[in-house]
Amino acid sequence: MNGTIDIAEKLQAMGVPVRSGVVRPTSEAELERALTGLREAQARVGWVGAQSQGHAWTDPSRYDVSLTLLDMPQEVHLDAGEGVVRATAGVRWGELRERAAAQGLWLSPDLGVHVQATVGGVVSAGLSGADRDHYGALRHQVLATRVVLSDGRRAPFGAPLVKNVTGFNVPALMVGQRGRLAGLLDVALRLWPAPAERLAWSVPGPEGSKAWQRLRAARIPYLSVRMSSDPEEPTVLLGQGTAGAMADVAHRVRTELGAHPIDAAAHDQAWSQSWRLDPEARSVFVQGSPTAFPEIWRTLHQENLPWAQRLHWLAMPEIAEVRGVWVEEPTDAAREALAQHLRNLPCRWRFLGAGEPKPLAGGPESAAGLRDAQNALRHTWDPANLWQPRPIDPLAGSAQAPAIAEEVSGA
Amino acid sequence: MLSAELRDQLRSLLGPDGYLDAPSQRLSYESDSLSLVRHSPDVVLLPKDTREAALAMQALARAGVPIVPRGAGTGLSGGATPVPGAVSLVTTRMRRILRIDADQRIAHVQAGVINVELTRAAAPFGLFYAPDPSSQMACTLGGNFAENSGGPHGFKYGQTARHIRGARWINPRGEIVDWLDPVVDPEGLDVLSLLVGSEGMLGIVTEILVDLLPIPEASETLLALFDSLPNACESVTALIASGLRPSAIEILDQLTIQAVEASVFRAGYPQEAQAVMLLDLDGTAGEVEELRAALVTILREHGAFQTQHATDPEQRKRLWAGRKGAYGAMGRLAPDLYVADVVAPRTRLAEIVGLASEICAELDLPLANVFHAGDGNLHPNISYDRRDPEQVRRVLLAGERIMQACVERGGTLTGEHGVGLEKRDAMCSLYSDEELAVHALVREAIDPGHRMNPGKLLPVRGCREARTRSPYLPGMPEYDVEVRESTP
Repeated sequence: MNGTIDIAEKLQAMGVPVRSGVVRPTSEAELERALTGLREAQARVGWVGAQSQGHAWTDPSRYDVSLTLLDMPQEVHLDAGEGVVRATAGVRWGELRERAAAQGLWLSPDLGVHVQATVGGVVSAGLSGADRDHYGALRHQVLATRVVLSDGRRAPFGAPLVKNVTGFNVPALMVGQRGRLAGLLDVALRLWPAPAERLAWSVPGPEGSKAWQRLRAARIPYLSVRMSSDPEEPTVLLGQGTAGAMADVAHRVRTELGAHPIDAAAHDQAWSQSWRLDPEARSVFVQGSPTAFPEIWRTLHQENLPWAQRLHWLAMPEIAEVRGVWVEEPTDAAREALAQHLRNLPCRWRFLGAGEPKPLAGGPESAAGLRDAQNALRHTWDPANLWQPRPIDPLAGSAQAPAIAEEVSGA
Repeated sequence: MLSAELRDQLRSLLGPDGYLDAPSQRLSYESDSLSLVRHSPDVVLLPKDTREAALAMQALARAGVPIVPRGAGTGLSGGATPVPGAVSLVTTRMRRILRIDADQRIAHVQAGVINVELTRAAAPFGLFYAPDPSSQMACTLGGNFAENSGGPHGFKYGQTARHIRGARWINPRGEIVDWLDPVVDPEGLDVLSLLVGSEGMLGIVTEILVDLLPIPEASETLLALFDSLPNACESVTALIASGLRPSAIEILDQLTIQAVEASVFRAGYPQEAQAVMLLDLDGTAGEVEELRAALVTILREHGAFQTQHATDPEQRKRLWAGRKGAYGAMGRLAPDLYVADVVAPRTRLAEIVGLASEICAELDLPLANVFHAGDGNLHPNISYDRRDPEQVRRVLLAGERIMQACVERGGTLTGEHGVGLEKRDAMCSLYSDEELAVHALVREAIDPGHRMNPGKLLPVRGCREARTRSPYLPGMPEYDVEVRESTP
């Protein structure tokens, strides 16, 4: 392994811009030279976008150099007729959403305040937003991508079309791979008709999980639920769709759930701010079956787990997500106590925050077979294991690796 | 050839119902619905559950025998066509619905469950399974998983991948891998999504967890009649641009209408129409009413001379019977049917449908169009007689030219049938050798021995050679199969 300074000097001598330890090619030719230089130096590379996610995935201390495509030409081709937008990796997510909105179209996920996130970063990180109940997870939005491997080879996958089964579904594989397999040069994403109406209602009652149960039982379509552990904050229902659909939904939430309309835009803004995490914040993120939502709620509200400053909840027909923010760095014992409770529930969780991630023990039996397949992909696509290597990595290991690492848990 | 010892082992493992090796028994497994290409498997294996399938695959892995997975054989790309020296591993005895969880809105099924049976079983819970390929009365959910199948209602609800929540997968070594927690996002690399649509080249899925959706409060069918096929296509482009979202948009051309109306699938489509468009609308009552009004306005602006809507379930079923039975009805035109499957940009539907007509006219072939217009997924159908080699040659040439016309205009090779054997070499029209070598890394990672469904999806020889052969698919195949020596 070479020192960062040596690698930077070598790349600069090859005509590749490097600033503050970050390799910043401005063209594909420069990128090719950069990759050649990095391979020759056997440098560990961390791909970075706008670094807006705010936790340790791209901790520069783990890599010899970081590599970003932010200075590459930023191109956007929006085909409103087909309902597809194609963009190079460094284009900002917020810009794409704005361009889509100008054509009456919607790009999912809605990442709220994270408008500076890059296309490549969002896809590599596999982010989803509060609108996934309407449009599906990000892996269903990515139609095509062009990738570059650590050995410099490039290839396109998929097509900028709303329907296509030509070849392996590599665009979906690229979602959430965090640069372990390939760097994303450009991505084609599906666009949807923008919802004619977006409405919000507050639901009376002190406990959000009860509102969720009543909502599921009522089977009112097109709704998601947001709530907080703060008793001063109401449980909020959000719906979006056509005027006709929303008129029907409004009638049902009023008559069946006793909900009252509130300003959706104002709520969205407040929610985005409160959901947003300080990059240094310590938090836990739990994702589980919607039917487990009341149990997760009760678990995280237990008095013997006074570890969280605030909890935010997002529940949709196919998924429930919780984010808890710690007041201060939790002890290992506090983490383990929480993990013990969560292991009994159908959910996954990860601890996020600055510093070294803490691994958890245990996990489903099937994880072994899954890791085998993941490792095989990793080793085939990046044989030298130079891209996004991490000290605690469920993908880097073998039988000796931790059974479950900080990003993965399960029951 | 399988050794006598391996045959005995498989026979003993699977029993007489699960092991077929007599020539007459193997006959039905010589091809899928791409009947132009046939080859008898050495043995047909029909395990009844995951355990049997895994044990069989372990035995085959130890012997280095290639495996061709197969569901009901309704595929149209030759994806289940056996290759020399291979066994067919068929999932049709695994047809139990293991669990329907109405609260979580998921179903746990074996891979051999027939698509339509799941929706029937879910209906008493007020739920349905959305992917509905035209072959849904016969095709299996495992086959749908392998091909990432679509269907008319994929326009609103998406293809199979959108509805997969978990699976039990047997990898090429015969090891069982479970994803039967109905979690929503994958752990680390999304191998499950990679398996969907992998055409049986990465292993076999024996059990699946799928999403079920609440049956919409209101639904109806809208029929629009057009005096020209291009007008029907243009109206689709217009209604996509308007942002309207019916759940299905299907078009049938005049030759199809005539075939349907002369058959047992008669739907009452007026035969003076040059094209009919069938749309399903669903949602809340107000939403459906609003959608119908907007759709009718656009359709009439683009040449629909008549529209009618049906809300009665029996009326709706009748209108859809013509669409669902269209392929069967075409049996009246000729003994064989070549069903092409390409995707056109939705802004160029009329242009590419017109080109397909020109290509078939030039080659003196009858062309009938039935297609998922909302997704741009075209199915030009060519009736022919496979006993006539000259006709077969022209049919294949037409298929290739339509494919090329589509690719040259920004379309792609397949929307729902898969690449299989049929379009394997046509991958060279989209990708270079160097790019395909990167695609092949997926298989190298999971099946380095190339034993799972060899000879499919990825060109075996270089593209330069593949491009010199036209049409891509010869009447009788040379398989170009390469099965590598590998340690199981």
